[in-house]
Amino acid sequence: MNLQKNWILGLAMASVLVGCKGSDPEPEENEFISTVQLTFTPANGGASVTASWKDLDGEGGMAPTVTPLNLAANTTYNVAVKFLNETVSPVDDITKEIVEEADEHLVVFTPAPANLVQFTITDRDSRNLPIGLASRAVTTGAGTGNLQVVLRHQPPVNGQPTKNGTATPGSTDADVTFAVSIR
Amino acid sequence: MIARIRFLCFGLFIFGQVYGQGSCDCFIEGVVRDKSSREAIVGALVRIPSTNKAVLTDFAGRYKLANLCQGTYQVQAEIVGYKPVVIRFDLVHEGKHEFELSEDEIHLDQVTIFAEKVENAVSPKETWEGYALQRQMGGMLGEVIRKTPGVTLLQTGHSIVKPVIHGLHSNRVLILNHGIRQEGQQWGSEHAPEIDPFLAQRITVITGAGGLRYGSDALGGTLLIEPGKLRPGDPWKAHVQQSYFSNGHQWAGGGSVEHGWKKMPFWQFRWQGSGKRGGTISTPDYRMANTGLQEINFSTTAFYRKQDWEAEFFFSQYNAIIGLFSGAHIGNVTDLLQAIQSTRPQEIYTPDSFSWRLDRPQQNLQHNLWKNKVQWKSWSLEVSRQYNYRQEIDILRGDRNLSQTFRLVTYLTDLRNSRKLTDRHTGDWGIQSTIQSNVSTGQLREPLRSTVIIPNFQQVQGAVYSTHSWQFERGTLELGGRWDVRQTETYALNRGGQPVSNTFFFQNGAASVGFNRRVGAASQWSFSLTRTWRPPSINELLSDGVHHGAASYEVGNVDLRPEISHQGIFKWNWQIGPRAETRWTAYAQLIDRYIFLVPSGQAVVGIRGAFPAFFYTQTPAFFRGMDWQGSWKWHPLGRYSWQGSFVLANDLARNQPLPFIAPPEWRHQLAWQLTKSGLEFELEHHLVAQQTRLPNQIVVSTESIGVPIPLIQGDFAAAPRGYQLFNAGFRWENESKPWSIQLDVQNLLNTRYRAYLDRFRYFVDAPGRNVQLRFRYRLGKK
Repeated sequence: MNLQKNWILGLAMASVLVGCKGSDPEPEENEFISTVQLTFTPANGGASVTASWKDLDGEGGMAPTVTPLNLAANTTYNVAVKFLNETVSPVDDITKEIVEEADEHLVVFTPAPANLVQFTITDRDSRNLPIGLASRAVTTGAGTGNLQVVLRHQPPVNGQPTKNGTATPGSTDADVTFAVSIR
Repeated sequence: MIARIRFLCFGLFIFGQVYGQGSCDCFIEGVVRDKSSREAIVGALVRIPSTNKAVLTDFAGRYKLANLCQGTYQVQAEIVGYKPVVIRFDLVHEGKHEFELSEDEIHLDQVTIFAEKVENAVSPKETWEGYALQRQMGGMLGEVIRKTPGVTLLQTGHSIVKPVIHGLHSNRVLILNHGIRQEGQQWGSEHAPEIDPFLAQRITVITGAGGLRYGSDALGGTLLIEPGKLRPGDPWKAHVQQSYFSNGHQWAGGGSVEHGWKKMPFWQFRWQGSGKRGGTISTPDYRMANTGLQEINFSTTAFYRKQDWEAEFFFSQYNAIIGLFSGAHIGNVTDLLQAIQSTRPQEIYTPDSFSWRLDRPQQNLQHNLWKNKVQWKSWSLEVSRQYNYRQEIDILRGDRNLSQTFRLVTYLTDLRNSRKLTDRHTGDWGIQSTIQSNVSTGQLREPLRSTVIIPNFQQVQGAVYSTHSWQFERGTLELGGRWDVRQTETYALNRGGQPVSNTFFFQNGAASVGFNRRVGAASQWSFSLTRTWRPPSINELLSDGVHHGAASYEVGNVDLRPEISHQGIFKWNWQIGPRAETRWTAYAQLIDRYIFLVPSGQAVVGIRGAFPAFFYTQTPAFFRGMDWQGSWKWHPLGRYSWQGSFVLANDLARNQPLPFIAPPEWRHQLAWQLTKSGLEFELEHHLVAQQTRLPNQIVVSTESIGVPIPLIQGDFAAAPRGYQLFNAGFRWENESKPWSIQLDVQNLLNTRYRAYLDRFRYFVDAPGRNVQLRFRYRLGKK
């Protein structure tokens, strides 16, 4: 009886001593992508063209600042896409981590009108699916329009990879539109 | 109650010898005591019913029945307020017996009702206890009470369920867990109450503002979660219950043990624990990825009672991890509208096989409650501490670990005096204080992030209240009043990373009057009028950001003023003959400055795309409705019962309905008793109408903040069609047996449907057929 009593009282006390979840706070940082930067370098040499889409204070607040994309007609460009967090100093280059998790990311280019610029993605992940951080863009005639650049995040679901080369799986981490003018 | 017999018979009874044989000068003597307090009972009557011998106990509880002949006697000790005890004596010469009398249960219950009456005698309530409660167990708290008329559920999928009472929920529904106001992040529509229903012996739903004892902000109603009463000196008892639900392979089990020790005669203890584990839930057509959950909970209670003193020490912990359907956590409005347009989720979100996995996104929760209550005569002091931990882990975004973590600590103190002032009049008054702090980032006064949904804050609140009730021959009159003062300081970082602090101060009063009256022997009506208020909550004041998973950008409003409510509730109960009864409730509530979230028809543009913007605003609102239920035993073995309710809610300033109000609902059941031993079959038909009362005008029109987005009457998608469900089951319940067993099938016909108040209706159908098995076993005494 004494042993039983001690055991039960011990259990009662132990239950009071059980720790609180989350009493040690995890480290935090202000993390988001604030900037999408496109760099178009002509394949045959020449000055490169840069355009950036920037929203330093998150949704709402101040409107984003977008620089226009001015390209030359009938030119082939090598395109590099960079994702940055410019709200911190020094600027954080998130592109590196996207490269590390290339199997879960896809950059999708959608020009409007569709024949304004032709994009071909040149980089590949470990499953031989496109990533989109490096691509080739070919312009033809002069014109104006828009270019939508979307970063899709396609992590595995239920342990199964979901990335299949299309934009369908996953969700959007970045969805920005540039005004394009080709002369 | 069993009385232990310590039987000392001087003389040679065992050897059959007779001492002083043939004479009638034997006696029986002893003491009569209260079993739990061990105090002697003065003036108890000790008698031998077969003779006319009787004595009263003296000031020390002693008695002596003298001049008895040898023989066999039944000796009975009794007194008003206690259960009589009868002992058999085979008297040879002397008999000695110490009677231990237990308080009569009816007597004790009067004490309980006394306490309840001050709260809610005139507020309509529905009580779930005994078999009725057990039949609903195994799921989340909201599901246990879902069949109460006037109650609907606000859901985020199958595992996150919040009660809605008369159209109001979250901060407008007060939950009392063991008499302590539950404090968590209840402002969120996808934040379910962190309470394990297994620890309740009784759950009561009180509609309307109640007696104002626990708060003034329960505009919708109050949910009382009460344990069984512990009585020192009671023999030990235990129970075990298990349930299995086929949809999701959800196992739930719980048990409790109540025990006391002779060496600690004034104490009684209870230990209780429960756990739950579930995996992938299925709709009639597909499985939903990441819809598992797991829970582990326990509680301990120590109860002390001696003479005028009573004390209770209670600790409970709730732990849960709840998976959120992967296909519902979309990015921006483009993703959302795409998901809404497709009739079923993408392949990757509808796996082919069942899984127990709990991945992101998920909610990771803990709630600790520590309650200490001491009572002396008419005074009681209650001090409690709650720790609520809520971590909402989103899917990986921008390649980072995004989660919102809230730590809420609440200290509540309640000093109360409650007593009978005259024969008919009982009254109480009390002082309450609350100190609460919330940390969403960094330390309380040093936030590190600006991207939190609600900021860090510290809140201090004080209140005084008094309630009175008068008993008349045919009814009761109740009055209550309360004054609350609240001050909140918030600490946040603005978008530029600069610290920003806000102070909010609110104070206001509440009053209620109610009376009920019995008419004839079979009916009773009651009416109550309440004027009360609710201060705006932190999310309503200071939200500024994207609410992930809701794909909406929500903006608070620091200029919001408290809601003021005037409410009238009328209730009528009628026992129509011995076989039928009906209950009807009608209510109307005018809420001036009702706070709600409205779409603006515009979307803000950020790096992740466009998010529709919602603004917190206030408007005069009018809620009214009716609940009706009844049952009719049309045959000695057959019973028909029904419950129905509807609520209408309007935005009076814009002359249109308010959004997200439950549509009318009707349930009815046909039950048939199959055997005398308690085996019963029941078939239920459940009808839910389509919500057609929807707003038409855009409520908040801001200058263009982004791109216009298509909304259908203020919503992303049209309200789902009405539906009907069939449920059926067998149950075997018999008071004389220690076990009860139940087999139910919910959604018997595997109907496809979507519920209007389920956030997941944009993406998936509601769960399909669910076969449920429940088993309960009790040990020790009942």
